[in-house]
Amino acid sequence: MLTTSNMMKKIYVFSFAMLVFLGFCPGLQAQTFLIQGQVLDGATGEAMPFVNMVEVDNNGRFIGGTTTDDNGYYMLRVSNNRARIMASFIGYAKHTVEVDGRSVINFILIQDFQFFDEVVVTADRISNDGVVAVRDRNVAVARVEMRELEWVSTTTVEEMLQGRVGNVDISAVSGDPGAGLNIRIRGTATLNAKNNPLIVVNGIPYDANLDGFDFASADVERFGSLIDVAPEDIETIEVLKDAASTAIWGSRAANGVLMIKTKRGIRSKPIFDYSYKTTQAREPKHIPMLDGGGYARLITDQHFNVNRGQFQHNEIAFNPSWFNYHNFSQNTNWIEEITKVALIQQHNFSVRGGGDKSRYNLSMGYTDEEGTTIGNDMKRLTLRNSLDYDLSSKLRFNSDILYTFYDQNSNFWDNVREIAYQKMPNMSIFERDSLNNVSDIYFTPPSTIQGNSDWMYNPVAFANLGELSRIRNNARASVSLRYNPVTTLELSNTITLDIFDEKVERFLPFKALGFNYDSHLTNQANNAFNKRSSIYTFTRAIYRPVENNVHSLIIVGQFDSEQSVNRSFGVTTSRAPSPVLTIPVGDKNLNSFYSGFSEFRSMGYFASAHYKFKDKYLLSAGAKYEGNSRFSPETRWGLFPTISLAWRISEESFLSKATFLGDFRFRGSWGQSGNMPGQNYLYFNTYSAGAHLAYLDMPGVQPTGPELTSLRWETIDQKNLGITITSFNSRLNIEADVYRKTTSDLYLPFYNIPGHSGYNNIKINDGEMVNQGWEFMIDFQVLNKKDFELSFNFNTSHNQNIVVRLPENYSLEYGNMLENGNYKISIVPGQPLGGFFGYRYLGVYRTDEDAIVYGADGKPVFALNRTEPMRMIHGGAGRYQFMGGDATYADINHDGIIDERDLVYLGDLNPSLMGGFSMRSRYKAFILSVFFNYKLGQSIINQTRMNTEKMYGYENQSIATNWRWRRQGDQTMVPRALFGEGYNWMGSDRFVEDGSFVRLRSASLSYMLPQSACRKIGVKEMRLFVMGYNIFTWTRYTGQDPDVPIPSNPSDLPKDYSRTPPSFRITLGTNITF
Amino acid sequence: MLAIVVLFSQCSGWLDLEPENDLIEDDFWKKGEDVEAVLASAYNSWRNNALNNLIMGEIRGDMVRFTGSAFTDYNRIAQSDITISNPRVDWSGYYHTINLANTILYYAPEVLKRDPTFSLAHKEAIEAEALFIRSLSYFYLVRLWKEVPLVLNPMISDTVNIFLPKSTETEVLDQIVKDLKRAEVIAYKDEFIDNPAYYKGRANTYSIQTLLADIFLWQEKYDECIAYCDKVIHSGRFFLENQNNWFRLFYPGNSMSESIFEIQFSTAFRQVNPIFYNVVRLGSGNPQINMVATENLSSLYEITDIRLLNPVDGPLPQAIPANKYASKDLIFIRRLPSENDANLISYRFAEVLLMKAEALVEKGNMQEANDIISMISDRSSGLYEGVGDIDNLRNAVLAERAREFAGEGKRWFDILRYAKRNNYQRKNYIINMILANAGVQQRPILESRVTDVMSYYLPIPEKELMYNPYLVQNPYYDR
Repeated sequence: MLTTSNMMKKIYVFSFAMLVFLGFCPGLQAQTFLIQGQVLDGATGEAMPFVNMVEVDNNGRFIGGTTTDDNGYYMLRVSNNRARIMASFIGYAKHTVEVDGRSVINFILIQDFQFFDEVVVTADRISNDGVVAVRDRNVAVARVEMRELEWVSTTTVEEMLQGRVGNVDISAVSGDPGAGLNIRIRGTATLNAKNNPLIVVNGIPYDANLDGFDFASADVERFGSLIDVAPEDIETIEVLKDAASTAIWGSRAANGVLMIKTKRGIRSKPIFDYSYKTTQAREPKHIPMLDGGGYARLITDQHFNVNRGQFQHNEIAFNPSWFNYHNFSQNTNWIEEITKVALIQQHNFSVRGGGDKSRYNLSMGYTDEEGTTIGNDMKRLTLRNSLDYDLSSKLRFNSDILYTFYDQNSNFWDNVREIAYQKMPNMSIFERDSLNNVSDIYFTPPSTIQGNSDWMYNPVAFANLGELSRIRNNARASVSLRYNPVTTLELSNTITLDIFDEKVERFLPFKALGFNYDSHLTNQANNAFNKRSSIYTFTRAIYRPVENNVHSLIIVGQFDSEQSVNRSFGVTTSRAPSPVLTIPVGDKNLNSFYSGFSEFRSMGYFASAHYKFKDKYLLSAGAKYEGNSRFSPETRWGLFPTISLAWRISEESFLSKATFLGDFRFRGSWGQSGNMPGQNYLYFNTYSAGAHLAYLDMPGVQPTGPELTSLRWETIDQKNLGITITSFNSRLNIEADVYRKTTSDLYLPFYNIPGHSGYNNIKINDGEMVNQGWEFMIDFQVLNKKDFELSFNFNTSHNQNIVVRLPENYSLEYGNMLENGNYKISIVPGQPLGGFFGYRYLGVYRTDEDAIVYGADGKPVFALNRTEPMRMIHGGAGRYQFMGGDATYADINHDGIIDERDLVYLGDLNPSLMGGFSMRSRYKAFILSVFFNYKLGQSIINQTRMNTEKMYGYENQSIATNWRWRRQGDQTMVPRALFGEGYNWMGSDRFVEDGSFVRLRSASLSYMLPQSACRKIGVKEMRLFVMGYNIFTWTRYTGQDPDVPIPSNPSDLPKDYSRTPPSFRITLGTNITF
Repeated sequence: MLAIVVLFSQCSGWLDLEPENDLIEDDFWKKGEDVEAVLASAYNSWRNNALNNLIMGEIRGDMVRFTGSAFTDYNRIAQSDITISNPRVDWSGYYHTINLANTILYYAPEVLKRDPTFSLAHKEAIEAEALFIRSLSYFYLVRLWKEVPLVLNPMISDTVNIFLPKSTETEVLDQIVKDLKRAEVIAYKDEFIDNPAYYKGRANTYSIQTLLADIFLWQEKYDECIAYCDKVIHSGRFFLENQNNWFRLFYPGNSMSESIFEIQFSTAFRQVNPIFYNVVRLGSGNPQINMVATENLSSLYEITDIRLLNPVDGPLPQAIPANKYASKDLIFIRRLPSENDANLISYRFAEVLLMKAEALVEKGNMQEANDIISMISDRSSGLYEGVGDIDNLRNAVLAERAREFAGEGKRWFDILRYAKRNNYQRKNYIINMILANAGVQQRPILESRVTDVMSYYLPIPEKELMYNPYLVQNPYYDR
């Protein structure tokens, strides 16, 4: 441990030494010339104040500058009389002239009507890695310029990206505010649960997930990746897909990278931006459920079909003489009662600007979002401050400070909607007396025929009274220095400190369930803290020894390190004497208690070289060598090489006449990256202690698992071929890629081993999986006139997943197919992940006599010495005999028994095609944009339909069950109601649906106020917009939302539980610049 | 840049991080206390198997029925409708215990070298306890599955061979007899006599001898069985409790005179007997009982027998086996809901006596066997009169064991031992019982099949077959 702290100290000392060293480099002094003149507006001829006047060198670098005064005059000292001066002003085209020995130079600036192109694109845009120009890229990267999306009103970046980039699948886990998203780039590459891509903000990994998180919520998925950046702050997002592009990020990036670059300060007088959006969110139509009477009839029917007897229970008998009659004779639509129309307010304010030496950007966002389920809301405050300061022309300093505050409220348990669908509709929300007077007290009987209220609670009472508040404080401070001792060399050093801090408070007052003081749930209070702090350092050198028309070479070297510490602490108590005490108190009723600590460290070296010959042939090669604390010293270090090539055919002489082509290049890349296990300390043979291990007063300690000597890197090998075409003056852009991604040494966190070892499973690396597919994107600007503009974008992609090899005697099979409600999953070599099996549903036996066995020849089968045909039976132990009204499953092998031998392949969750398309048009100051996204060919299990049509218990059911079989001879597709018996809802194709959809995700119309009107109200620019979100979905899927997230665990199925569905949202907003 | 590379190549130890919440092997196994702590968790692990052992010891028998949805899978076993995917067909719990015992036996000699305060006697006593726990686990495994893998090394690393074939019943039994004979010598004898929970709750010479006697009886080695019973009987530490204290054997337990080995629970340390979760639920009113007697059991008792007494619910014969867990005394006192830390008795003196009687019958010593049965019967005011015929005497021992140990998880093993004696001489007894337990529909199919003696043993669990290619299924289930 001593060496550890010394080590960190050395890193800091070194880093600071470098900062100091770089800080003492003086700028060069030279003889100067004075230039003066006036700047006029080309349209009005008026003098223009505050125009930026800068001297630039041949490479476009700024040397010095000033601004014009109130009358448009300037005076600028330049380094020589051959210098170039550039005049720029927001909303106007830049103008550069050579001094050419003059001392008075006047400028006329022309207003630039492409107002959304406010930052004029100079020669080469540099990609977000800061090294290679966008046009020289030979790897698979998708880039989204945020100015293209400015009209889209969303609260998160993920929502904005959904469907816009090829082969990036982002699905919301639920429509509740603050709910996470599952993000997959090019399919599921690993059987390990960690498949989300790395998020990089301004060059530094940003991992807002907390390790020790899963204690309170049964479902970690709900809190997927959250990007704490307001959409308004973002300038570009790049999605890095192939290994060659992600190499520099090493193992963190094995599942791809979302690289976000935020807006920074610009050289101008202060620009204030304010935007306001107000949104109304409305849920789509719910599944229609039975009313009170329908429910009572169904329950009675269910019991009658089982024992032919009358079922009498006061709660569903509608007996006016019973004292509780009014409490159980209502028609409550529980779903409607817990649903509301939600309002969302968003404010975003930013100011940016800067002078010659420093540029700043300060932004502040506030979001107040209500959920459509009562008890759900979120407030978010983001503050971002970036400062760029040029200490000299050679030494630059950047700092970023980011702070995000979340205050999120949700329901104590997240199954409120599920219970609301199941809850008996004849029960009253509020207590009523015998005269049917409604009180304001929730009606919460401790138990009903549906079960105890500790799970079958009154959803309205529960949602209103149970509390779960989650307060997060995320902060990042990042400082970097860049030093160019000579123009060909850039050295930089960045240190970033991240702090994620979360407090979760949950409280369940006894009134929420209607329990007395004798339950561990009564007044249950739970507090938990999670805290993570990370320090990242990046030291990088970029050397450009040759850069001319023939050769260009860039060499990059980098060292990075990370140190992260997680701390967590949680305690749960119950039976507090008063519901006013909402925090854990006292030690008498301690339900649970835990504390955790874990630490992670990694370091990596990266080197790469990029060579360009005659702007035609591009070659890059690199390697990452990295190690981390999750592996034992023997397997710790991994070397991951990459190589990529590009051929810009449009530069070849035989195509020199095809000038329309612009840029046409072929790209190819190969690379490897490593993936590490998601937990720390796995390789140790650890021993844990705990009260649960004690025998009498002897404290117990036991090994938690064997030492894992063979744990090593999971390697992802990726090949990519692509073309990029930019032609007709960049009006037509096409990108196409094919790839093959092979994951070997698959990390299997649950490799089952024989029980006689004393353990059920260990973690090993073995097996191989392939993801292959293609992506295609076209961007076409049809018209680009002064008043009229029209452009289209279309992207589509396909990914195929194949499990190539699994370790011997390793089999993944889930699902007991002799029971209701299960589907069989098997992960076998040669098959994709996510396929599932079940029975074929043929409808309902019309009569008892129909439930007989038919041979392969279609004739009834008779048993030996029997005159009646054999009856169809179920393969379970009870040999259940099918009767009229029961579900008919195809007896595939004609043996008269419905069992595992009758399973058929029902589908898989992987879409065959997905993507999006959009159209944007501008007529004068009006801009209309629409965006569609789609997924085709994925199968979904409509779990909600299964739950609401099974007619098996006391849960309320949908009105579809009114078509149920009731008497002999009925012809229907809905089986009879059977209480706790029969096999009417086994996993069959009845509940599997085609989840293909095309969704009109957003449409927006915005209007830019004319300059004259703006001047009148004293602003520079003003835009008004209206926008709709989730407007319409074309689908044959009968559930609420076909965009079901791909489960993070391969043993889970794509089931639609109808969690809070994505709402239809309508937003009004304005954006003001002054 | 270069400087940094040099800097880091020097100390890649920066990446060596050790967990702080847990101990790692390198830091553990330094002190005698470490060995004791793992021993505690081995007992704890065995305790986790205790309720399953009790249910498995009754479920296919003819005295006790378990009701309620928690027992669905067990009841499929009761009806001989046994599938390899039945979650109750699972041996991993036993092997978890065995692995802990193996771990202790592997490291204890190391600790002896490292810790000067850890005496040889202490180390050997702990080893004896580990051997006892391991042997007891194997004894259950053999009686339930007949042939199982014999694992004697701890799983301390993924380099350990985890794909072992089955060993024969004889190999396993020979191993545990050998182990126990060593343990008998090195174990503590009366060192814990002042701490009843330790004296009765941890293995000592007497419990090791009792287990050996039980194994010898199973192996049909009657001379050895009698010899080991006599060792316990002549130790002078044990005698039968008197009639008035019969219920006190079960609560508060740890009877100094009768108890030999009990699995300990204690609410003081938040260790609650799981039998009170769903088998016998204590409450303010009558307890809810999910373990009921069959008519077969209630017909075994004479009306005078105090073991028939029903303090819980008046004379309700169905509650006979549950009474042991629901009442405190002969005078109709129910246990309070908080009195849910009763021990589960593995061996008590009455069983040593009856084991001896059973062996004596096979040796032809009818008189002494009759005397022992009378002694047990008289203690409870039964009306045993003695029988002369050897077959009747065998049945009399079986019946007395049934009366005495009803609901203690012994019955199925008693019957299996009885039926398999002399090369399954009395197989029909077990066949009739299995058929009586089976569902009406299944009976005709089972009738021809359960003549296969391997049907009395459980199948190798599906997942074990799946993960270990060297295992061969019990041929009865391998169709």
